[in-house]
This record gives sequence, C-alpha cells and structure tokens, in this order.
Amino acid sequence: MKIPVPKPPPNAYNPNRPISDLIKSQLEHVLETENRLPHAHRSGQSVDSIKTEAEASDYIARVTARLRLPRTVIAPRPPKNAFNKRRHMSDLIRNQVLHFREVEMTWPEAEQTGINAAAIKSEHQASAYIARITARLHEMGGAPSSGGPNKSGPSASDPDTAPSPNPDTLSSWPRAGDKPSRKKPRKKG
Amino acid sequence: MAPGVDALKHIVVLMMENRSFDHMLGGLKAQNQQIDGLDGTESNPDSTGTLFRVQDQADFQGQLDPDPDHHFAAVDLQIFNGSVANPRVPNMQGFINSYFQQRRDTKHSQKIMYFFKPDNLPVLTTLATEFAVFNRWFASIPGPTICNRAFAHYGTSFGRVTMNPFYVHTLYKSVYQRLAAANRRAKIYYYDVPSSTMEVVNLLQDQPQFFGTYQQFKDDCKKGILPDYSFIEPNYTDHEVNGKQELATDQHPDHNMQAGERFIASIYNAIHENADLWKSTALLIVYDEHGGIFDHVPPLPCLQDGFVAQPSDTGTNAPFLFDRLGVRVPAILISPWVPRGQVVSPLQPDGTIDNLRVFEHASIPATVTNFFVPGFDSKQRSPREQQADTFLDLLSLGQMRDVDLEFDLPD
Repeated sequence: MKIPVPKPPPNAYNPNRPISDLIKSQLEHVLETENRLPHAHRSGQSVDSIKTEAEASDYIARVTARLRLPRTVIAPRPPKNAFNKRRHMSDLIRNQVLHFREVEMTWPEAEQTGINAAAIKSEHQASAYIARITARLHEMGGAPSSGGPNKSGPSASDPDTAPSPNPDTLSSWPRAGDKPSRKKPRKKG
Repeated sequence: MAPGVDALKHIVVLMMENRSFDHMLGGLKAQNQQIDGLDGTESNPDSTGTLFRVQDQADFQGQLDPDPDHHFAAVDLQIFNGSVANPRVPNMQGFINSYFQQRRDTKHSQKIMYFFKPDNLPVLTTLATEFAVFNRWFASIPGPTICNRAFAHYGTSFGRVTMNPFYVHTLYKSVYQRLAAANRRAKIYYYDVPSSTMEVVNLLQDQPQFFGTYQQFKDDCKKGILPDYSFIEPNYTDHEVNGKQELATDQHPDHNMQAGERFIASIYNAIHENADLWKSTALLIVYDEHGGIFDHVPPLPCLQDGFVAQPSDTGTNAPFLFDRLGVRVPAILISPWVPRGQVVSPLQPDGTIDNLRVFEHASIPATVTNFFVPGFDSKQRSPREQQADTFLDLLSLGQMRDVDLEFDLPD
C-alpha cells in the first residue's frame, strides 16, 4: 500500500523566518565549538547578529566546514636578528658554567681545559666551554644515545653528535690567568 | 584503570624556563571563564604608588632586560611586598616593586605586568585549549631555576633554595635511577652538547648513559623507540654548531619567545606524527618557575619538605621551612585520551574552585614513579613527593579521540 504524502506548498519555504529558541541554542553550541578553534580558523561572525534561519544555516555551514579542516596552526619563525651570540650570559648560564667547572676540577690537572671559566662573558663562550666538558664526559662514560635500554650511542666523535664550536670562538676562549670580566655580574638566574 | 592509562607506554615532560601562568595563558580567561587568568583589573603599585594594571602588551623579546630577579629574597618581595605581619599573607603586590629595584625606572618596571595576547602564542594557547590546562600548578619553591628543577628529578631540592650546584644525594634517588633499577628506560634529552644539561650535571658526570639529544628525541619518536620516561631540556643559549645558528628555545628572558613556541610545537609534532606513539604517550609541558613575572594567584602553603634553608641562603634574614610553594606556572597535559578543552580545577562563575587540586614539580617524579615502578618504597621519596598529586587520571576518556591539530613551522 502506498500512502500519498502531500508536497508542502511553495510558500512553506521561508529562509527569512526568525530563528527559534531551538536554533538559538544550536548557534550557542556551534559558537562554543568555534571558540575552541585557533583564531585563524574562526569565522569572525557575531552570533548575536543572526536573526533568520538562512543566516543561521550559513553560519553553521561555515563553522562546520572549518571543523572538518585539518587544523594547522602556524608557529612563526623568529626574526633573523633574534640570534645574538654576544649576549651576556644570565646568572642561570653563569651557574651552569660553574657546575661544569666544578666537574672539570675533579679531573687530573693534565686533562683540564685550562680555560678560565670565571672570565667567560657571553652565551656563546659559555656554550663552547660547556660543550667541551660535556663531550669529555660522554667520551669517558658513553655518548648521548637514543632511547634504547640505557645503551651507549654513537661515539662523541661522531660528526652527527659531536659539537663543532666556531673556531673563532675557540680562539677567543679565556685562558687560565686571564682577568675576569670587569663588568659587574648580573644577579639574576 | 581508564583505557587511556591502560594504553599508556610513555610519559614525556618538557620543562621550559621562567614565565608565569598569567604572563603566558592569563589572556585565555576572556575566551574561557573556567581558566583562572586575568580579567584586566589585576594590578600592582608602581614606585609612585599608582596602581598599574596588567596589559596585554608582552612582546617576543626586548622587554625583560635585565632578567627579572627571581632569587628567593626577590620572590619573597614579589609575593608579600615587604609585609611584616604575623602571619604574613601573600598579596602578589610586589612584582613592580621588585623589578624597579633593578633599573630604578618606573616605566620599565611596569612591564613586569605585561601578558601575552593569546594569538601571539598560538602554539601554547592552542595546546592549552585543546587539551588539559592546570589552574593550579605551582613552582615547588619561591626561588630560582636549579632548586625548582631539582624537584622534577628528585622530588626535592635537598634543602636548597639557591642556584648552587647540588650533587648526588643518597637520601632520594633521581627518577631516572629509580626506573633503571626497575629495568625501565628513562632519558634526559638535552638540546645539544653545547647547551647540555642545566640542572643535573651530577647525573651527566656519573651516568651519561641517561642522556640523549633533541635530535635523538625526534629520531626516537620516528623510530618508535622512545623510552618509558623522557625529560626534555630546551636550548639555553644562542650558539653556533657547524656554522648553523641555534637560537635559545627556553623562553628565559630575554630569549626569543617564538623560538620557544616552535620548539614546543616540534616536540608535539614529533609525537603526534607517529600514530602508535601518539596513542600511547602523555606529554606534559610545564615551566620551571615564574621568572619574576606577575601572577595573581597567591602560592599556597604546603607540607614541609624535611629540610630547612638558612637565612644566609634565603637572603630574607629568616629561614625557610619549605612550607610554601612558588609562583604559579603554565602546565598543559597533552594526550588523545584527555577531553578537549579540559581545565583542571576549573574556576566557577563565583570565582571559587570546587575540589581544588594542587600540583607542583614533585608531581612529576610522583606520577612517573607510581606508573612505571608501582609499589616503589615511599620511604625513598621526599615528604613533598609522597604528598604530591599525580595527573594520569586526567587521561579519562573511554575512547581515544581524533586530534587533527598539527603545527606548521615555516622556514
């Protein structure tokens, strides 16, 4: 048996119909979802301005499409001038240098670098000194390694892992006997 | 046990440097009232006595030079603003006062109240709104880096509140030693050899096998051979390796913030891109301490740690009993088993928090040890670690959710 279902009259379609409470609540729900998207993926539309069913469906369609996009958030690159190898080291890095100096002092004198750690001023000098001591520690006890079961990784002389500080910096390393910096040390860590 | 915890095989902790919760995530309150950030009315008196309100004017670099003081005495001033009442009540009113001491420049000292527009930190704020953000994760000590980072490795700083080196202490083993003794794998991935480790030089000296590099971390993620527990240290210095400029990624003032954002994104991407790893890993991003920068939530009292720091170390003419936490820091737990947009201890409309949960860095060894070495002898943990809340229950979903979020790091 076939039951005839009458077609709605043409004037039943009314995209300008004011939105009901049901649609209002749907809009609130969609807005809440949209607000969890990164800013770049949001529609920028005010839900308060939506008055008709057509406007509501247009908004819902746009947000739904955005929800389906893979959400890629761009992490911008810092400006080129952000790099500053001559930056004076903070108290944090100064203390790190001192930690490594204490380690070095436990070695036989012949194995010590002879670098005057107290005269190190810049971050770049600090990292070059720390690299020397760290590399030596790894030579003695095992190179930095991947996540295997506490196994030794490639040798510290492996070009993939071994540091290669800038030779200019190497030649500018303070040596034992150099006077410490006259600049008053910064106190922060 | 929740399915997410059943599936868990790896815990990864990335600890960044020296930024407060409000400075980084405070602006998110405008989007989500459950996040205990800033509403714009929070203020501190400046050197003229005028109340200066927080402003969303934080920039990527150049504002916080000199590095804001965050030694114990300075943080005490920031928290109590010189109060001599008995007992003292933390009021968070001394941040400008403290920063003013360094340059005696009123306008400059006001910058300590600046916070970031959420859009300027797209990586951190997206992760905070996509996963679980903690409203109450505090530094372990109201003091500087080294002693705070010690809590993440040992559950204590062995009585230190300073930047002095600390060495192997037989009382409590590091979390790496505990896991190794239980035949589990643990690794500290420092950025590279010139950056090396900041806080556990003693471990590097005695047990260099615990260490890997950032590049090895990324390779291990790709190969699926990440250890049970990984702790990641950022790059602490601008330096060159083989002619390539390596920007500091730690976000320590006055290093570039965007470099840190990209570093965080790269850690997330490395885990997310390996489907097996993604479903079996919990990533915690946390900052070691607030770096002298404003936060509006007073640090809470806490269980004493069994140590006493002497006045000569605190610089305040008073001893410290390790009975108060440090300033609040950003902390985000990332996993596909975490409900989207979760706020841990959400702020209620009346400004209170129901069922308050408090976390600090001792929560890290507590969580990792409980999970990988169940039944570990509590006598081998510090009182603070024994008492610390753990966070794996936040992997609460009954079914893993699809997370299509990825970060693009343009060259």
